[in-house]
Amino acid sequence: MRLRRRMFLAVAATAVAVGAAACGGSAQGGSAGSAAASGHGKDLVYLSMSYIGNDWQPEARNVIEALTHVPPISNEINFKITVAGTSVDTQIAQINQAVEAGAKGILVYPISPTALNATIEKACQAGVKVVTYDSVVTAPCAYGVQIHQHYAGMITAKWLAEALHGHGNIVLITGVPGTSVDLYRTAAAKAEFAKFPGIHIVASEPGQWAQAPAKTDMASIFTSHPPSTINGIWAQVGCYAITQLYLQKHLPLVPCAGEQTQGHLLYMLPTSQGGAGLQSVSYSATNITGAVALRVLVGLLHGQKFPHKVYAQFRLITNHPEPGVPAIPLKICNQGTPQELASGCNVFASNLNVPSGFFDGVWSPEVGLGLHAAETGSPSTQEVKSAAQALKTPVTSWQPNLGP
Amino acid sequence: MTAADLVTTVRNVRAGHRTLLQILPIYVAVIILLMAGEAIRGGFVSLGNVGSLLLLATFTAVVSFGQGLVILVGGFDLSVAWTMTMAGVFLTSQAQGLNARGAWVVPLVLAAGAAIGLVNGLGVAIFDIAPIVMTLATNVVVQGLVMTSISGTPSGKAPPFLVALTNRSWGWLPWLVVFLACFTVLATLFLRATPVGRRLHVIGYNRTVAQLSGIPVRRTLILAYVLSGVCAAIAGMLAAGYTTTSALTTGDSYLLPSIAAVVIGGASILGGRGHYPATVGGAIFLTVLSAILAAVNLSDAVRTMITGVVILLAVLVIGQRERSH
Repeated sequence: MRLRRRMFLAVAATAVAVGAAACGGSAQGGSAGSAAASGHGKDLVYLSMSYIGNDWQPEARNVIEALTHVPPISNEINFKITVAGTSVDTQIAQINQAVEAGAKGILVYPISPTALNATIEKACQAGVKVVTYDSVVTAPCAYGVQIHQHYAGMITAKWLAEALHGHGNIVLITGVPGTSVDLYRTAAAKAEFAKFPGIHIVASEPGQWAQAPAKTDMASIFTSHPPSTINGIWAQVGCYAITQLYLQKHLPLVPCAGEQTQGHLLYMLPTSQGGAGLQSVSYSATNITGAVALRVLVGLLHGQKFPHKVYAQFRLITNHPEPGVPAIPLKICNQGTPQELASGCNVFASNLNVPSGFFDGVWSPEVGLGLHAAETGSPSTQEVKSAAQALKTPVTSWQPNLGP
Repeated sequence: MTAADLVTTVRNVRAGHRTLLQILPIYVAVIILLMAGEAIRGGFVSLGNVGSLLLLATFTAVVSFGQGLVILVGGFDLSVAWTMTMAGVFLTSQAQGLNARGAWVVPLVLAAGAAIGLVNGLGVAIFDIAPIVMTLATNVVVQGLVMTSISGTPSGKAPPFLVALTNRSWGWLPWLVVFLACFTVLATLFLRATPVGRRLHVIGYNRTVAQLSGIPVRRTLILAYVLSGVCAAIAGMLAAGYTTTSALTTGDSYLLPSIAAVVIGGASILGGRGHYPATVGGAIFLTVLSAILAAVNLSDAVRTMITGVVILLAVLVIGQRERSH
């Protein structure tokens, strides 16, 4: 009786799994634009994602996916996505599988800067081009598109220290531990803060680059560091949720430096415009690094040459300028179209109902997409046109001024 | 009063005395931790802080009730992680920050949690699949369902009544702590004073004896998993209410604490023994520990190690006390 029950369940489960794979396969495999094409003549390109549990990762994936629908890329590649979670072994296995499946190129968000190196070297030897985005690996054959993480950490720390006139207690909310992004930004920030002897880091918690953990971290920190003793916050991501906590507890706001999310930028607006007057500098990790990485990958497949490290441009936005920190002011986007974003707007109007944890850095001149692409993973007609135009401009590496 | 009455009364008092002795140790541990916190940072033990700590412990405490039920009947529920996340994501995306919508979304989310629990229960009770395997599989499936249903960032806002419940307070006493107190009383009464609760204990203690005494074992097992799913859904909605928006990271950070709270609260990991008030104590213990570690500016890695060591010590000390009774 028990055996029959288990056999029935095994058959049912297999049927469900096969059915799901069939549905899922056709949903994802078709994202290169034409499900009808069996990939004949097109290069197979994989996107190997790892950690997906925050707001940033799916958004970055959407921009990449949207770009695969834009000609000429849509005519040239057959695009597939794998997700490994936080397991290094799973990501290694998935990269190997991509190579076995005949991939010509693999985009990677690596869960570790070093653990994937052997697999990546094997892929390179098999002739596969490997391009990482945002987070980097130390494998020499891999290419990496990123914002200059050291600069991002350094310049935002400098802003905060200047905004506090060189004195005060600050709290650090970092990212996903173990990634190179977190390592470089945090190290650069700490090195910058060390230049100001009056600045003391009183607490540090990992915020996982998501709003909810940042808020619970801060609430926990309050129990051992009363709010009145905290003068400023350096949060890789989290200024939105932390400011929300302050407002809910009716506490006076303190300056917060962090990566631009919609809610954070809205709080930076003056109260007369519906904001909270939060003094802040906001930097964009530009969710477009993945899309730029795709452009580099496609270029490599065409035989173009790129430096192994490509730095994407990113903008600093502030409502409280400080010396030595180049930044632009807040400007509301009323529609979120690529044209509007190109003109320099950087926060979406509240009637666009953009989620508070959404990262607003969805546009760059090399990618040319807009809000719709970042929200849905497929470009609007307007976005296809402006992205197709952007694809004609070359990808260049941006070198920031690292100062003395 | 007859002699028989007297014997029964003494037995009841002894049983109550025993129960108290089983619940007390974890709260003593909490007090020791609070004193350590005060020593490290003066002012740690203030009414406001204690209120905040109890608030933060509530999410773990609620999930741990469901987890505790499953552990009581000899299983584990590893699907609470993505059930919690599903609940938060589903709630915010459908409620869109409106109480009117929240009125029908909340019951739907609870039903979804129950459905996930039902699948787990059927797998474990009818198809004899090991609980770890079944709930692990369900966890992955729910994760897939959540990721497919949202194409990017989780969207929307929790309904205002949940945001208020989780964020407002009467002076130092957060509303959510009052909720926790009521939840603890109801949950304990369920476990101790209802036939279903008693059946759960018997099944966990000795399944053969339970079957032979005519207890509907399969149905009760399924109920345990269903309730676990519902508790995870409640906790997920509360967490979303607290941060107003939902996140994909929510559930993962509550899975291991939900098991740890049950175990350091003195429940047997093999089933058959456990007291929910002690589990709540376990949840509070973990929250206070985490807050104290935030106060000492150590690296993340060192903090994780210390957390593990402290939990191990708590299990050894409190677990041993239980065995001696």
